[in-house]
Amino acid sequence: MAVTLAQLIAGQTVQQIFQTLLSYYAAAGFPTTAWQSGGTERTRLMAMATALASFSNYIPAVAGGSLLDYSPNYPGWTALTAQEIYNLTPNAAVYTQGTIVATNASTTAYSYAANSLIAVYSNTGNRYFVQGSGTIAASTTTNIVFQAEFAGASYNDPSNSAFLTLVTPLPGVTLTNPSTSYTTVSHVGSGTGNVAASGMPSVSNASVVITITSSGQAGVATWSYSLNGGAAVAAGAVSSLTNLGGTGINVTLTNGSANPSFVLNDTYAFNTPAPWITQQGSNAETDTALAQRCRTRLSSVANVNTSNLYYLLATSVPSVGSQVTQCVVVPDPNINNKVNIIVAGPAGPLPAGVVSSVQTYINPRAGQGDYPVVTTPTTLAITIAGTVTVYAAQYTAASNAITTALNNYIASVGINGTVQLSEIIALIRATSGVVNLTVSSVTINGAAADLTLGGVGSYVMPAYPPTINLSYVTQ
Amino acid sequence: MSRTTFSQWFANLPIPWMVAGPNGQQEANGWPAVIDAQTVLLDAARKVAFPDFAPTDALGSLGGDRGLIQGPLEGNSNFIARLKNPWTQWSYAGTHLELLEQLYWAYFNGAVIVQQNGLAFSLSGAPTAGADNSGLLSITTLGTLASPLTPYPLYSTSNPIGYTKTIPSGSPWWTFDSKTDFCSRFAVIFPAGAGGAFTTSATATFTASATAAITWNNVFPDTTYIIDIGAITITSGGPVTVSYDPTTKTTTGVTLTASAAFTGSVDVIAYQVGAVSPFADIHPADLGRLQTIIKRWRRASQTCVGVYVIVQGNMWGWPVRTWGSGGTWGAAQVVTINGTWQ
Repeated sequence: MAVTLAQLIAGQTVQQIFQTLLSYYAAAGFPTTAWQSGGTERTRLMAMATALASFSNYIPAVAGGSLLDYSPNYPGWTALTAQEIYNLTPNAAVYTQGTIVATNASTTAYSYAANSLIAVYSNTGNRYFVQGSGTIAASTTTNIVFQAEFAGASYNDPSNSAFLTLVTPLPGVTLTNPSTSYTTVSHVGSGTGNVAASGMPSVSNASVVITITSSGQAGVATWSYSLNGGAAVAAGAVSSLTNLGGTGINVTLTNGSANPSFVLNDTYAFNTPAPWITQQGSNAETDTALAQRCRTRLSSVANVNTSNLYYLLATSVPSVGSQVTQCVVVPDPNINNKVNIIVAGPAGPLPAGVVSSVQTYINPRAGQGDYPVVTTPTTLAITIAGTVTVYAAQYTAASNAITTALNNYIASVGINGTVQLSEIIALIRATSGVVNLTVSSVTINGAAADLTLGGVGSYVMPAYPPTINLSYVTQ
Repeated sequence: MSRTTFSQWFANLPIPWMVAGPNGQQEANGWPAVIDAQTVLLDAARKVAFPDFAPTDALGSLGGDRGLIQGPLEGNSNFIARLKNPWTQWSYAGTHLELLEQLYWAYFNGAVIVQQNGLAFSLSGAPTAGADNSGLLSITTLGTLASPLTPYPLYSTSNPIGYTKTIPSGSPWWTFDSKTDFCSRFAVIFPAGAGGAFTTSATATFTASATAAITWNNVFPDTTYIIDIGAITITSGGPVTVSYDPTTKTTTGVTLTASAAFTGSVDVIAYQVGAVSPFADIHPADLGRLQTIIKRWRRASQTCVGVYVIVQGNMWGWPVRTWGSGGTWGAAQVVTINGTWQ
């Protein structure tokens, strides 16, 4: 009987091999049923089975290690296969970097060398080391670049943290990590005009999408704005607007080189605030992600660029590495030969510098006549509500477990994915300690329906973490 | 390359007191034989990566690693030939040639790709697995515009980009709409009689019997599908009436029963509830495969506008002909396949 893959990757236990040995001896005419437990024959065969099992358990790894569907199950094999067969190196983990502001109230200036200053977030324990050398000037503020102690996505401390201090204090010096007010404005479309955000936001966070509703120059083109995925509000034919929807956010349109500068259906999107982090830390590329890159490798043989090739390029940028954890490639719905490449990282949208690095890497590799444009999605705040009945004694554990499960689920929803009501209901119901869930009360952003993010020409991912407004009833 | 097995080695050891007797000889069929069996497994495990030597249940994974999909009716030997030479296939990725070849292997044969700027692409014959099939690409010119094609009003909702080009009359063209500059668009058309994944049918053979089992060429997602009994061909016996036994209905086939034993054949067609036409009825798994093929093998910057099946008659623009030169228009039926092609 022909050997199957399923058989090869099943693995064999010591007991299974022992039973096989007994069956072989029985078939050879030996009185195996008369062999006593603890006796010479059974003991001898058990020793052989133990030795054989050590040898035999290489078989699943040998069989599955070179198949990308199975290699992630065998540590080290995906990297080996990637390097030897596909000439791909696993993306290493990346260090988080960001700008921390040192405010020196003293009249003493402090010189520092690389790694001599260590900033710590006391709530997470994450430490960051100063990059390069310099001086903290007296009686003023100095912006300093810090890098995480270790590479990885866990170094994702929020902006404006109250827990940030120097490990070794300098008299008169305090640290802050303010966010900048706005992310880079992401433009999808063919217009040459620019949209700039300004003002001091009065909201803690918001996503804004400007949509051009009729073409023209600034002050002639009409446009609308949408806050946090809500209904579009017409702004009219104005070149600027202050205090959008009472948020303190101001928007200004500036003409570009072409006329009209603002083209119908173009979108301009940005978030507020932008985090203090300028380089998002990321974990080493997982075997699953590496396997997916390997599957797109053959596309590089072609003379014509396919979606697989742009995916491979966007996820293989040497200076970016594992920071890109999601990539979607779609042809533009309006512009001939334009390819939209949307990238995101482990913490969501990527910083402008990373997006620029990916674009720079792809540009010389674009197909003739292709117009590849790399962007990062905007985010939409997700609020999950509902009424859950739990056992009183398990209230804390159950509510924490539900929060973790829902956070993980939202984190798994990709660019332009769908947040499914049924999945949320299932996760809550599956949590230990839950007695009942009032299904009709479960909503996503106020609606008892699936929420599909983004659309044609619009690329959105869920903001993380979601807001979980569950009402708990104990019994 | 033959080698001495552990069983042979043990049985021939120059240790008479251990192996000369009957028990010693039979010992060779014990643990040495088990080691031999494990060695066979290890050998098989190492060869999993090689298409010619891999177990058949590994072919799908080998295909996935190469971006190749085995068609539902594609034989293993044919697929193995393609697995061994993914280079040629991928070297043509992004071209209509390769999209047509991959559609062919995936059981979507007979496709015609029409391009907005006036060309149609098809295969002139069956491709050869693992070979360079560029010689099969047939490129024809589409019908010409009878009058100039002007773009939508400038900067209207339909023309936000500001297409300005008017395409002169007499230009070969495929008109999706009036976005005259948007030439990176194509559609996939399956002319009448495409069959394949779009038509689920079978022929039951009765041999002096009143029952005959059939297997569908396409698997259904469930057993709610409709069965139509077609033409009955009798070579002996009969006349008979034929129906199907609902208790035997599965996702892969059914058993037909005749009113009496006879020898002959019966054509049968089946389709999903709600299908617009039995000849353009694509099952979910087949639709998924069609979408994957188009997304994977088209040029990244091109847009597939849609997939259409000409069930009967003609579709405006295909086949290319002069208006008034003939063809069936009154009973024409073209089915749009609903899917995601980008």
